[in-house]
Amino acid sequence: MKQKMIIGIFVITLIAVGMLNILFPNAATISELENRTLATIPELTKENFFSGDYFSGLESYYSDHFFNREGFVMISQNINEYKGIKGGDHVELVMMDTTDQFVQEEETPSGAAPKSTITEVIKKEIVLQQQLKKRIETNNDLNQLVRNFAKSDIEFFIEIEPVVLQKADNDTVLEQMAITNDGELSGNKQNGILVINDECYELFGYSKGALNVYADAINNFAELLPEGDKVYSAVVPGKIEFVKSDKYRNMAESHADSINYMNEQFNELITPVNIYTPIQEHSDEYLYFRSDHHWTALGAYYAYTAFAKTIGDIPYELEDFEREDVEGFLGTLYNRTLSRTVKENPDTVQIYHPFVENTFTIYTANGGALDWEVINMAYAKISNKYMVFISGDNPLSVIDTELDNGKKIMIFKDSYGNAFVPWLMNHYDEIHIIDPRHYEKGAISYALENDIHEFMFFNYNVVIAGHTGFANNIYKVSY
Amino acid sequence: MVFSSLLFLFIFLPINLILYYMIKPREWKNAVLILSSLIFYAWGEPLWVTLLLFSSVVDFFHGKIAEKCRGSWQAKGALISSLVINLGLLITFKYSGMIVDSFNSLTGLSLQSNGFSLPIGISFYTFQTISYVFDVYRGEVKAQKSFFKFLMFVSLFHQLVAGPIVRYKDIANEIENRVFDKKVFAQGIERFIIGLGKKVIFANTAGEIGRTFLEGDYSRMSASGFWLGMLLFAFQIYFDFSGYSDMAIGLGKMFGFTYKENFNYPYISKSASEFWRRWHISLGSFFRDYLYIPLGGNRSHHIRNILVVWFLTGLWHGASWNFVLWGLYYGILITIERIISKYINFNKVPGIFGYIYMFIITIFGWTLFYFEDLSVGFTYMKGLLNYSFIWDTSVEIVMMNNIIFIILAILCATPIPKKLGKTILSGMFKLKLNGVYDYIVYPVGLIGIFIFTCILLVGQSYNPFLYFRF
Repeated sequence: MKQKMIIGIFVITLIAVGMLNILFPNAATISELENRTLATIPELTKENFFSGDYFSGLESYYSDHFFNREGFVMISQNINEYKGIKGGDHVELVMMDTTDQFVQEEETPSGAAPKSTITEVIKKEIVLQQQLKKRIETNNDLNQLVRNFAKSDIEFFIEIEPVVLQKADNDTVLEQMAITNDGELSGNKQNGILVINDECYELFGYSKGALNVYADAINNFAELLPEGDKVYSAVVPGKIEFVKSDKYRNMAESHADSINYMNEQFNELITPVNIYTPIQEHSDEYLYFRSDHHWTALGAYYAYTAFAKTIGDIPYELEDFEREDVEGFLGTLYNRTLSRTVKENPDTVQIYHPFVENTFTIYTANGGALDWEVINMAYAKISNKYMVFISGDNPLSVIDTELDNGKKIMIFKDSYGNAFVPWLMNHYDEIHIIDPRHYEKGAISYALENDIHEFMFFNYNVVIAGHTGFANNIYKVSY
Repeated sequence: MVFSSLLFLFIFLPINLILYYMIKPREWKNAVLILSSLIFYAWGEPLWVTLLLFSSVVDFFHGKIAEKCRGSWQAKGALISSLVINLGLLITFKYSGMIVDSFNSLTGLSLQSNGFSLPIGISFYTFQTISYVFDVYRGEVKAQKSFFKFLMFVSLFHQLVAGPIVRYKDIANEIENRVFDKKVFAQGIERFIIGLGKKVIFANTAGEIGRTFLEGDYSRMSASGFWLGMLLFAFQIYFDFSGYSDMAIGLGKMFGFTYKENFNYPYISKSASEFWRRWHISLGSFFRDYLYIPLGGNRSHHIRNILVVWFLTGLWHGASWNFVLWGLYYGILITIERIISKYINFNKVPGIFGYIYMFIITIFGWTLFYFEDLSVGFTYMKGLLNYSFIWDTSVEIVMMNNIIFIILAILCATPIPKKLGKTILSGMFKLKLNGVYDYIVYPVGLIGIFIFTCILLVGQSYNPFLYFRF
């Protein structure tokens, strides 16, 4: 009797859960929490059948669409809280997956695949909307649909809704520099996330080899420019550098040492901008997000004050700008850690609206151009709210201000530059923003054509100090 | 497919059980089992399921010849042929890369290997069919007359991919006449759930935590980080492997087969020899019965036999020299223990020394095992011995964050939970609460663990995709 009951309960549980999965599967196609598309039923081909990929694809599909999946994920996260204790500082250490690191720089097919699929899903949604005759009429409607990856998305919007202004044409192809890639120098050496109370920190370790490659790439770039052109370099330290407690700060290597070492590798053509000191002086303020690996517009403001002084300008005061706050931002570091304390206290994205009249154009990889806004509030509604700043990472974007001083600057940046760039609008006539990871043409010939003679390399130390990917991309566009 | 996959648990298993028990004739039951086993295997190896079939056909005939011509040269020929074919398959598919690489590095040539990927479970089923032909040859069991029954033995999905290594003679009787007993079925469920829990709750979690150190920056890690990392790997591999064996044994019981135990709390051992009597028992006994003793055991060429057995035991675990070293490491330790035991009576030594000794050699052993690149393994060992940098903050945080898990893992690697369960049970019996136990505590607890495990399993599919450097 009692055995019969056990057998009965077990078998019924198996069947019941199996049925629930068939009747009420997780119908989402995208997981916002995980920032990825959920697996789809793989297409059956001869290759993936015999390689077994078809079957592993089915398994991923099944687990991604498991009944009440996100609910169970959160329950299991709560269960995980009982694995131990957090102590007085409420400290956690979470490992990142190797795939989290530098995927963007390495143009590996595996890294690229999920990115294109997320666009696929958005495309499908849009096509569906079009079929429903809901026409996309304004930029704002477009923005509603923009998800996390602006580059490919915008590309697609142009396809369906051509707002092409002009074609970015730089076919003057010079000899491309040989890419020096030291294969040994890969990865941030320390790739964990430290959570103290409600604040996430990236651990950090640098490799002198990677710093040499980055400095060489910029030295090389400067040498190719006409005499008299100015090249600035600014590197943003990571937040862990400013943790008060020695105990936790010493878990990472010193950003100051790393930045100083690199500055020593520059030749006389490069002017390093010391943004470290003002950030350090204001490190008690809200300079970095607690739940995201980016910094705030305020952090970027202090970097801007240092840069303004370097170029001999007087920086504007914060009070000169109208501030708008967007609440409820939970960023990438939260997504990885799912830390409860972080979730209970989400970030606020503080936006300082530029007041200089301007046009902002995003040039896409396929030669399309889109009339956009420097601060695009449509992104405040999606999960990745940091995108409000210049709409994320695009190959080339140009801010043309109403200033008539003839000053032009070209900025090579990673995503840390996105919050920084708007501050420069009161000082430059034209700001040309290049993300060398996505830009596929010659930046020098572009600069010559557009009569640009000031250049700035603006990066986050974690991106350049442990990996040569970004430096290789600078070489890629150095012609 | 693996047992700890949601698709297996909620589609494959229920369909399989229903079909198996709804269909009454034994031949049809066997057919269900063969078919589902082949699907299970082909799920992971759609191409190399052909090897499994090939191995079954060949050894079915080897067995027949070995029986029919017992005592003559043909029988011996069948045995040798079986060994050559099975070991040939293993060498071709598992070891050719290693052999070619080693040959290249010795000679400076750069030959290409065939580049086959390792077919799942090949190390297990080739050994099972070898043991079959061997046993028939020695007259310890009758050859199977029906090919399909033999195929069923080889392909049984319960133990096909991760053991234990089941010998034909141990289940020969059940292949012909299985009895289906509710009690055994219920035991099987319990065993399966325990195994699944070991895998999902303990092995996967230990693996996740251990990465902090095992994949960390060794130049900045303190000695305790190296120890903690390898300790977590020790948990991971034990709970993973023994969890799989538990699930296999449990499934076997659900389907009417009895497989022998494969693990017996290896981490409570006080010597390396005891460890190997408790760890992966079916492999140790395979090498003992089919290699060590035929070679002469401890009667002739004792040292040679020990070296051969441990060389091959190591090599069996993977096509890389670190596994060979790992095998020899245990072979040497066991030999030393045997020599010392002539002078010291270990039973009189307090147990604590045995545990400390085993803790140290196990950590170093798993270090050899973990790193296929020996130079990294030796760097790690240096880290284990770095007495000038003993403790750091990340160890403190990880220890604190996981202290309850670590204590539970230690406890569950010992027989304590089992004993505790028995004590509670007898206590309840004394209080005449057997009904409460049988109908409430036990079923609720068991299914509770199962559901808990499944929730964690869904949670482990959480896979945030982050362009961190975007």
